[in-house]
Amino acid sequence: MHPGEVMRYALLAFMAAVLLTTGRTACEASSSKELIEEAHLFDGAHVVYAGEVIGEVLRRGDHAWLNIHDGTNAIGVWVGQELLKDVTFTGGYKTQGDIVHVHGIFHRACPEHGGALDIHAQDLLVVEPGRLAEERLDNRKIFALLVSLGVLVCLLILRIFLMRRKRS
Amino acid sequence: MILKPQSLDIRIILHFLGKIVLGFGVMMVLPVAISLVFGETAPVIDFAIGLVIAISVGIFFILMARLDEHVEMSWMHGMVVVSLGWLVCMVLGAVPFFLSGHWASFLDACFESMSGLATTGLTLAQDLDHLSHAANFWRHLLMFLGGQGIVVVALSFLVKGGPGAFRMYVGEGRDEKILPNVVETAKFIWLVSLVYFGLGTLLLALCGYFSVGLSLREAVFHGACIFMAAFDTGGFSPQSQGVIYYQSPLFELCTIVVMVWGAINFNLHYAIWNGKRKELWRDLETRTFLITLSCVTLLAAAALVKGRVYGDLIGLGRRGLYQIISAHTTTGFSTIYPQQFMLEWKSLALLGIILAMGMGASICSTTGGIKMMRIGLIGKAFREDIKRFLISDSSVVSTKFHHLKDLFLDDKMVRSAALMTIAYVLVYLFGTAMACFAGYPVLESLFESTSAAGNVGLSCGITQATMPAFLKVVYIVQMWAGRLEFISILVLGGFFVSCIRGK
Amino acid sequence: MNRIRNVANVIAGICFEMGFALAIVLLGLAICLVTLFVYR
Repeated sequence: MHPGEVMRYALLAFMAAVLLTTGRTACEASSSKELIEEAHLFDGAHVVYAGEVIGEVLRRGDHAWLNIHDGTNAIGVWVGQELLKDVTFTGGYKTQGDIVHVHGIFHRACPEHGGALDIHAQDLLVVEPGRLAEERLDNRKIFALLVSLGVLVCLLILRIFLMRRKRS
Repeated sequence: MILKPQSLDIRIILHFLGKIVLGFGVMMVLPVAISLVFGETAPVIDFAIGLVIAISVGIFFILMARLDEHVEMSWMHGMVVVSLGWLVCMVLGAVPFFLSGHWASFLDACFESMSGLATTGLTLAQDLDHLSHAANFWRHLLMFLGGQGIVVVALSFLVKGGPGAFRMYVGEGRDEKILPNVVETAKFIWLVSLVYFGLGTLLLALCGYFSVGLSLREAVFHGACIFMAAFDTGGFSPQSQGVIYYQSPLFELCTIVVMVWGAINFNLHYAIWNGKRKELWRDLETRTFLITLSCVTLLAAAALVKGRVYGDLIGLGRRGLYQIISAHTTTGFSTIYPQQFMLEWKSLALLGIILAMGMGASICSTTGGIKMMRIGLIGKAFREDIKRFLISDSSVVSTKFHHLKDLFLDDKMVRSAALMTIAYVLVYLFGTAMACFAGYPVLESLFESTSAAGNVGLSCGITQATMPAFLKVVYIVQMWAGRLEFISILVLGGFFVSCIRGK
Repeated sequence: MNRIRNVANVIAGICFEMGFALAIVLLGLAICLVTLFVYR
């Protein structure tokens, strides 16, 4: 076995041990890049994953899908209804979604969900509640709009002028 | 001797270019309406700027042309108008994207705009999940306009029919008219598309609401966007995860239905709508499609099962077959992450999917790639040649095939099919070489290049905002050339040469 | 009367194409199933 791989397994074992004993997210979260690119290593393991809830909460019976984006990719997390009560904001154009920490079991190709790469959450913690995002109007844009409108009006006047001249 | 273009030639080109730009620009009203529906203010300004600039450019071109009497276009004019028109529309369509701030540079915005117009689906958007509904709608609307053809848009409303109009129509990569008159054809293409738009959006919205769990407003929005991307075999999706976001097998099945609708020749839609349902099965394109699809599915399935990538039939169907159908119809929806292609799929499966992307689906549909008709014709020609060796010298061999009517295979058809196939393969290889030059491995390069030139949109991870700028330009050219099927682009090149060297 | 028949034809045609798409999916799944049997 490659030394780096041994290290990784040791790290995973340590993470799992910490999680099993404390049940809380005491160690550093894995990134979506790691989870996707090294999915074989993480397959079936307990992982901690953190990011912003995006889109909408997709409810399916007593569970729901949360898509959690950590800055590079979003990963689907299968969550029981009882863990969802703290989730209030989901990220979109007008909102910044809740930042959550999820602890759960990672699947490279989940047998329950048709081979999806997903995490089945066992614990979910909202670390930073979301908020409504403010829309900012840039003055330069309004200026650009006025200038381009001016150009358009000039062109239209020119066109009418040319048509008149042609007729006469 | 090459003749230098006269000022009248340039005026004709400018006049029709102006009309196409006007027709395209007016479409920016729709995202403005969407932003009003969703109560977004900043995008209204972005699109208003885009709209005003596009209309100004259109009027400016028409004013410059000063073409008062009706002049008929020659082939050269038609081709140059189309290829230039696509470039101008790309730049104008990129303006609202750039203003939204979700694209790192104007080049990235142009890439997105061309990717939409050419119905490719490669995206350079950043933080897509926080993009406004208006800009997101515009991405998908670009696919709807580009898929049907921006010349078709202009033909339907602004340009008088006639041989000149037909020349532009052909320049946009369509070989067949459906109705005798080209304007009627353009209107029929819109009729078909709008009927399917209504039905497809309803289907996807219902599925999104009941099966996926979206709220009603989002279900309708996502339904409309996903419909436009699937029917025009584009492949954008409103969320950064693509189709993974919905996490629903039923929704995936619905997108397959829409993709297959989009992969069918518009002529065949016309025949089927008129009750001639047998045409679907008798057509050379459908038969070739079924054969090639079976072959590439077999390749991919064998590799994925042997490598134990997906454990069961459902996994194989939802992650393996889905990508294959998406690639073969040149849509580019994906239910796996881009990196997974290279890290998990085996080489044989990748070969299968690259072949599927390269071949594409029907002519006179919105798909890209070499297209089934040409593959079918070449296959028939091979069979005819083998037959010739097997039977006596004195007998005459002739091969029949069915495409809307019974036709005899002739050398001219095979020649043009073979030439186009060679052209596509060369363009795929050109893009591969360029990506290799930029330092990417050969398999990744081939995958991404085929995806761009075949107007597919599946990515294995090369297409990112951080990739070299020259590679973005290469992909833009590939998407543009692949969508217009080279001829009009070569004519544009010839036009520039004649401007410089002609007498 | 003619118009009704036309609309009915169009609807039937669209459903037919939908069936075609489902048939393609079934064909693909059948191929997948065969490969699963061969390699297991």
